[in-house]
Amino acid sequence: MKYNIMLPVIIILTLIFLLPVTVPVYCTADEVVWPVKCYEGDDLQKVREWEKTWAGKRIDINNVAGVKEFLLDTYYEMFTDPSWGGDYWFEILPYTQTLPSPGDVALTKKYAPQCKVGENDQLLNYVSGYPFPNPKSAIEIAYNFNNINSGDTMWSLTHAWLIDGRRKYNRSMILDGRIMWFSGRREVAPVPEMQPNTKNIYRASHSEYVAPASLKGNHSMSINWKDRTKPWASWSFASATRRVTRRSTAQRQSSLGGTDVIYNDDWGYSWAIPANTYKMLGRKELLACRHQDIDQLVKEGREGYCLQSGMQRERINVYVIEAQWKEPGYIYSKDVWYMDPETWWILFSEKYDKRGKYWKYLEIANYLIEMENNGPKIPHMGYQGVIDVQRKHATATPAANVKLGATGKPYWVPEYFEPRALLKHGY
Amino acid sequence: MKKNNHIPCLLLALLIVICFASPAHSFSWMDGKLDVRGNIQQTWNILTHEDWRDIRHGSFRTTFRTEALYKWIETPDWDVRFFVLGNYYYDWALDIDSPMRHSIRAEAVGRHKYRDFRRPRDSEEWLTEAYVDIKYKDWQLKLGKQLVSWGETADTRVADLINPLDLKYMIAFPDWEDYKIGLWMIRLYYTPRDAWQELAFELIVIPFDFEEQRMPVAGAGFFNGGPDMGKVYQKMWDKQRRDAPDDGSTCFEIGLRIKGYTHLWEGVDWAISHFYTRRDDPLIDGEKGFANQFRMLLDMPLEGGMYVYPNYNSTALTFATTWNRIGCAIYGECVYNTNREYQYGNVGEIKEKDIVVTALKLSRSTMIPYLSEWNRNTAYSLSLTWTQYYLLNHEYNKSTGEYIQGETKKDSSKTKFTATVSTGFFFYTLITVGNIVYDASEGKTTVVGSLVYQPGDHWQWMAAYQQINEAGAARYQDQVILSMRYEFW
Repeated sequence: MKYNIMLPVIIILTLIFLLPVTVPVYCTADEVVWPVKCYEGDDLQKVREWEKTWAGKRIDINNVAGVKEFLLDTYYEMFTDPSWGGDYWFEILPYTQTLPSPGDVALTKKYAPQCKVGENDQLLNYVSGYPFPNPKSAIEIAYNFNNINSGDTMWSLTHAWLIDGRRKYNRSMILDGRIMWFSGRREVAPVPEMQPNTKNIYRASHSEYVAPASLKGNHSMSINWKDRTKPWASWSFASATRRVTRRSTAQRQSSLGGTDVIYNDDWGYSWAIPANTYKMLGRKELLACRHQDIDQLVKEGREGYCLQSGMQRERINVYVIEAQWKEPGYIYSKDVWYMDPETWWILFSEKYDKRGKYWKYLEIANYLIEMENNGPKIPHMGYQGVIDVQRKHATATPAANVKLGATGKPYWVPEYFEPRALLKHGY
Repeated sequence: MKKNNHIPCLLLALLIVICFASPAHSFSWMDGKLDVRGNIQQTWNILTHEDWRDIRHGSFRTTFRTEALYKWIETPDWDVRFFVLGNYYYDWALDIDSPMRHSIRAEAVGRHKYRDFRRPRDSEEWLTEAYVDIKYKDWQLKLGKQLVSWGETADTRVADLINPLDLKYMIAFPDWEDYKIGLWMIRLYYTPRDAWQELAFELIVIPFDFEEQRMPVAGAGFFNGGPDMGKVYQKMWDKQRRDAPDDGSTCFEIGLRIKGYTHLWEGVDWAISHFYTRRDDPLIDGEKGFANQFRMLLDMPLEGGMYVYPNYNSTALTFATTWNRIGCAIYGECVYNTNREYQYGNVGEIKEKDIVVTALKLSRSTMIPYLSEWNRNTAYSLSLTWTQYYLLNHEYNKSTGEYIQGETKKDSSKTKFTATVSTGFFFYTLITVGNIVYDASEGKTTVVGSLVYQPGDHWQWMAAYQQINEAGAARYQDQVILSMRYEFW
């Protein structure tokens, strides 16, 4: 008798115990399951097995065939083709999960459930954090990238090398750049938004050219709005004329000062997300730089060599997305992005010209940067390399110094990111 | 001889700069507080048509350009810096073109003008800027010799009329800052935080400094119509310089500019300004001046002054915006010069008239089918500028139907169109620029094409051609310009 009473009790209790596990994880703010590790369980074990053979190894032309399946075809061809140099190398690190900052986690869990993509592909109800921590579509992944955590303020002294792979020489460009986020802030007070933000700015940048001489003293400024569909506003200050000039968005398809990078190529893609349509192509396991020693890259850079030696790659299962510009006539017929599933950075991008021919190979190397003022460590770009495959020319930009989360006058104030600041700080 | 001492000095300086120039960084001393950069440029102007003087080389000039920025104080609230820009040249044309030596001797009446041709007269001409820049919170004060650029359309000076020009520097198409003459002034800025329309205020006071426009030495470069006319022109230019007002309180000039940014349309940068100023180029002083001009032609002693530099008021409105749907940036200026005096009629009479000058510029980066694709999808930068000049209340002879000759020569308005196309090849190591200026009122066209080659970080070579399509003597100004420049930074 006792058994007959206990059995339904046990069943009921079991159901109650199991119930939370079977409820979909997206239904309430408290139940956003994030961060999600790239490899877990059997997948992680498989990777660790593979790493027993390859982690710590230096890969060069003699043994690169052994890891060919984890490299993009174009990169493998350049790596092994003697006409590109033929003596490059990289090393393999074990996979390490990149954890988001506590600010990221808290704000993502709080605000992500209210985010959605509107009819015109605009991002709705976004406040801060990653809008789609468990993305279901390519555009949601793109918006995650569009809302990467950069510490709310970013300063970098970027030394770009313009590499002529045919003539075997470099030109250089040095840019002293600052970016401040006015909204979508995570780490540095005020969070999530500066108050007041009457102009509805999402982020603004103010850069000064340090080199070459023909550009030295020139400044440029861009403002992105909270309404991500609104075209950015841009200005430049020319030292030669002492004049501030307004720029149109049409310039964004132009090469940045003779580099292989157009204005829209920065960080892999630097324009409004709704400007493209997106298609999910699936996942792919690649060897990518996520915990790179940037000093090693700077040391291994060689004049006239388009590829970069010294890269530290780890296995990662990226999202593959194809982006196509909605309006006809864009400089790229398509752009394929390979996105880090933990940090949402574009790790690789393959760009095709108007005839559909492969044109540019872009790779970004990330590393963990400790924020200023004892802030957390967050992943950020430390190197971007763009190779014009058709013309054997490249632009490499290791960020020699990057500071995230700095505060205080005279630079980290809204006034430094207004067009009138260009005249104030220009000579 | 003095000139021979320059040669070894210049060569030594060139050697020092090239040998010690760092491949990537500017000269930076005192823990980065002092930043120096500059360039050395050699230009060669070759006239394509020889006039009666047989001058072939308009200029063969070595120019040293140096700027230095010293950051004295950098704190969150205070920022104090010193900035200096100098531009010194030595022109060797007299050493390679003997007809020019003869021509200057004949037209400028003496070898003493050789010096004026060869190099800047004094620090007024070679020291372009030297000022202290003090920033404190919302305030900024610049004290010293400065260049000012007001206005939006850089290729025509509409609202940009504060600094006079030194036309002796007008070779090889320099940047504006290379042939504007700096003025000693006080410049005060106020940029209040969270201001409506991001208003910024700029007050300029020029308490005592006056610089007249500088002209080249007669007999060199510009063709003045013959030896006799050349002599007259030199005398006139010398007299203009002597009649220019001395520095003092009578040269007081003051201006105020208010800039703002409105979020209407796609965002509009606007500015209004007012400037009480003085003409940099003189007028003949009415009947007295005209009489002296007659005496000058007859080589008779002059009686008193001949030129005046009258004051006037200039009010300007400028704007800049974009029209992203068609990928354009749009710039506009409208300047109203009130009571601006000018020479009127045929007897040197001076009249005061109001003048309105407007300029509208469209600028666009565009992909040209096939050409852009061949050039690795590089855009072509195209700009079109329309400048219109109106003389208000222009006097008109009702019985003859003719306009009385004035500053516009023919009628009450003048129209000019400027078109510029530029692009880069081979990753912008080769830059091409084409420029056409069409003066619709006089039917004159000036065409300039240039190729600039800059393969690396330091060297730059340029070849350019200028042609003035105007009947008569203008062809003597057609020239090929070659330039070689080394940047040290």
